[in-house]
Amino acid sequence: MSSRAGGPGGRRDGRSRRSGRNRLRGWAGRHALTVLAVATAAILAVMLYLPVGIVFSQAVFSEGTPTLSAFRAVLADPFYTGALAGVLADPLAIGAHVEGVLEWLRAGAPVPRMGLFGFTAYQAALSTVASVLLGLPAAYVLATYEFRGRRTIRSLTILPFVLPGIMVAVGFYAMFGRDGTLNAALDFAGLGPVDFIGYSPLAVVIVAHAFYNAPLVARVTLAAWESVDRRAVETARSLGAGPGRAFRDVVVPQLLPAVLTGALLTFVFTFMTFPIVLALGGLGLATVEVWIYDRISQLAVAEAATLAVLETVLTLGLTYAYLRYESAQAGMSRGDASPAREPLFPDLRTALSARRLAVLAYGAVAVVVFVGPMASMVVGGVTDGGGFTLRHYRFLAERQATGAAYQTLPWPAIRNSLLFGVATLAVALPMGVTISVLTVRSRWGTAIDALAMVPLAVSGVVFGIGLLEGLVFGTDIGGFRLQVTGAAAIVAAHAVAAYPFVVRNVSPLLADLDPALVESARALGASRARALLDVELPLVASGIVAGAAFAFAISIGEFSSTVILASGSDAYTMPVAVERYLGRRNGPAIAMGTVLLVVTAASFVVVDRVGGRFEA
Amino acid sequence: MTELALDGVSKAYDETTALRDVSLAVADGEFFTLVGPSGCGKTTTLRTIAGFEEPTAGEVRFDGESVTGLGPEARDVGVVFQNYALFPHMSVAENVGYGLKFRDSGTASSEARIEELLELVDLSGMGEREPSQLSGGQQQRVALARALAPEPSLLLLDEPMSALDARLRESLRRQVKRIQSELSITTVYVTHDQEEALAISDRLAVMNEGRVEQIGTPEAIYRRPRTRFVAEFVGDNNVLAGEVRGREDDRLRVGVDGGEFAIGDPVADSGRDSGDRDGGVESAPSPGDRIIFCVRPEALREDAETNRVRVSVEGQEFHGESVRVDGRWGETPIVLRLPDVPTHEELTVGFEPEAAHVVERE
Ligand SMILES: Nc1ncnc2c1ncn2[C@@H]1O[C@H](COP(=O)(O)OP(=O)(O)OP(=O)(O)O)[C@@H](O)[C@H]1O
Ligand SMILES: [Mg+2]
Repeated sequence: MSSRAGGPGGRRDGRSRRSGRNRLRGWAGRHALTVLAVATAAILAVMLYLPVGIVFSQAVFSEGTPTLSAFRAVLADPFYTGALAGVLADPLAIGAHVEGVLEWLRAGAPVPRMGLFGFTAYQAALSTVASVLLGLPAAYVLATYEFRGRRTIRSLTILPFVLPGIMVAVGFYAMFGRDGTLNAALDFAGLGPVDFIGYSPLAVVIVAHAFYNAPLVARVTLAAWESVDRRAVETARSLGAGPGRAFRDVVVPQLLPAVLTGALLTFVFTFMTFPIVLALGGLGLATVEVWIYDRISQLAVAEAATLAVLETVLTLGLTYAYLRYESAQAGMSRGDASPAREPLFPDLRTALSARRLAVLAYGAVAVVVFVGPMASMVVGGVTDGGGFTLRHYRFLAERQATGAAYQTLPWPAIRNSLLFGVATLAVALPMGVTISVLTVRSRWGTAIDALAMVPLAVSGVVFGIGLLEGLVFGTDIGGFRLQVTGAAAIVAAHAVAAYPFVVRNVSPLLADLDPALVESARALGASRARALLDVELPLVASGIVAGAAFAFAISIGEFSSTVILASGSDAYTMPVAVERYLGRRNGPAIAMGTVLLVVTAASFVVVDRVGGRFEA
Repeated sequence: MTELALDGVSKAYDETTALRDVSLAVADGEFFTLVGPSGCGKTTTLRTIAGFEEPTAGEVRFDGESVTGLGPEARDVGVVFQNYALFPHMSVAENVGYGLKFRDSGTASSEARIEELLELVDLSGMGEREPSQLSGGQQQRVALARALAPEPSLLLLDEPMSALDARLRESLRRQVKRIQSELSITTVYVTHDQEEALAISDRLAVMNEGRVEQIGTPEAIYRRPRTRFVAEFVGDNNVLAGEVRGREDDRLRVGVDGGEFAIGDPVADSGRDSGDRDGGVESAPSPGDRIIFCVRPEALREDAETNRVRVSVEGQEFHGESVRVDGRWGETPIVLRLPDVPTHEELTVGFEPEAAHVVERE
């Protein structure tokens, strides 16, 4: 028998030698993933499920006995459920309800009382409509036309995802406020001033929601549009369909799921809206979330918890429906011949066609809605009624120099934000990557994925209360006192809010990797953990970086739970500082908001560079 | 130095049973092939050997020693996948050297070892390239070099050529065969291409629906298929079913549809060479038995004197050295392999009784 290349080395001694020498390392290698998974599960249990569970249990336990009376009280209270309160109070009295409906019809069907939930859904529905109306034309323009800056605008659609809500609210103040840029423009024309926000806070809130969510709608629709296989359209045309017909038969069915996805996400997001309504509408325009926050401030914890449970049930139901729907759509084909784009303004004649003029008009609206608030904020930070001033920044500097300890100082806010951001990364990245690996590679992937995505469906305020009650005040678990406070609690909250974005960025890349790569590494002698380190992680690096940038941005912008956890402590962050400055004098808030904008814009640049994604 | 055995291996997934009681033994240094149609369980068998899957029942043994529970990294196998699975973020040399990191022998000799392997697969000097800069055939050879670098005791290849064009596939499979016999490394090769399986293997196993249908040398499998499935899957074949009408000497008279054929005695047939009893039926069929027998297309000749039938020509393919003719005898489809393009729409062909092979009882 001829000798093996490279000389002797039978398998038997080779194998036993290896298993002997590396038994310990082999154990660590084999179980590294398990260890990481257990650690991640532990963090989730303590930082996510426990707090949320505590909130829920407060809603269903009264002095140790389970009861649904809190729910009944809320559901039967017209303040919460409006005209439905009567029905919900006694659902079986059908005759009386029918009578009520008939009476209502006889009275000419007046607008029924909506109650808190009704109003929340109402404003979410209006916001969704506005977002879709504003988002679809953007998708159309970006998918159909080629023009300078198209790619930039396309990547900018991801920006709202990293913009803190409170900062957007400040931007809207800077634009629509009494001293805002819009009034400055009106003043210039000899009109005004108009108190837009005072006149119709709801309209301003809805525009602010559209500012946030229209780009989301545009982005998911555009992604679907770009993946329409041009050859399918061409086939339809060759079979006799006109351009309009081909669009309706081939393109629209592929866009519809994306538009619905965008609309549903928008509805869920705006249903849980908090900082924008808090800052722009106040209690006069309270949504469920704002009201929960108010109840917490008034220490009516049980009532807040009940509301939180109801809110979560509603949004979870919607999210579940969405996931079901999404998985039903998963088989949709992805073409590689994407549609061709035509130049937007090839010549003067084309430029004056009705269609191009409509595009221009849309562009003008988009500039007002999307660029206006941010530009107003930057401008508002350095102007003061008449002209240029550094007064607001000077105010911040002075406050820093001379402010009392109990006051909100700018530098600690900035420092805390950055520190928490970095700490969040340190926790959220390993968690996110571990969950990605488990969802993509393990048999229970879908279940793990669903469990791990809970933070997306639980509002920040609910989560904040849970952390406050469960961890900051402390919980007894089998004689062991579990207590997490201050900065640690905030970082935990941020990490839990941020890791889904790491998962969302890493999982698709990981799923695209050929499993044979890992198997090759294993067969060559690498342990599972070693293969992860040597092969998978380097190949999904861009997803990890994008996830990191998102996580950082989420941490920097997180408001809902931070405002609860930081209350009465000096662990406040930039968004919390903005909110605290807001209302008294807007100038400093606007200046602070601008600083926040700079930091989040930097994260955005990173996300964009590495091609980050947030779509599910 | 390594013998491989599968002993009653079954593998069930949630909904499908991929393997049902698979047993086979591969001798040291043997080139063994698993062949069968898509979904028959070839890959699952290979993955069970490699340790990517654990069998639901049965055992995999290396040199008589069970490897149950050993992870792939501890099994000392080299694996080559259909799509190469080269690490795209590593150079060719880094790919080939990856497995050496986990060897006990230090890194001192690894550069020399990498070069040695690149030379073995005719890729000397390509070490600094990125995998994406190589052609498909070159990438596949890198994958082979990478699998061989740590001197595995077993080489496993899962359809390594199927992404390559036909000509390249042939030259590459000769190269694989040459390297395999140079290193005399025990090899299990998976392919769905029966022609490739016959060409390259010392022995092969034909699989169908998770079962092993037959194991044998290429010649035995080709000449003496033991099941109807093997007879139809391996090579072109005319498989006929009929009833035994009588025995004379070492001939059987078999009625098929409207005709009657004289065919060689199956028991004598299976004993004819090397004591290999893979082919044929165990005991002589007696009158009244229904049997299945096959006649290869090349055995149907116009100048044969026995078993003559009239075949109408329905289609033909020119293959250079021969012409494949699809025809029909009555209702029965018949495949012929003739030296020349037929000149008439009907031909009369016959076959020698010994050219027929009894596959199984029906
Ligand atoms: N991970 C799995 N989960 C469930 N079923 C599987 C899995 N892997 C394989 N199967 C099923 O097991 C059967 C055998 O699959 P296998 O991949 O071994 O076939 P194969 O012979 O390699 O086919 P091909 O020639 O197409 O590669 C198939 O029915 C397949 O669907
Ligand atoms: Mg296969």
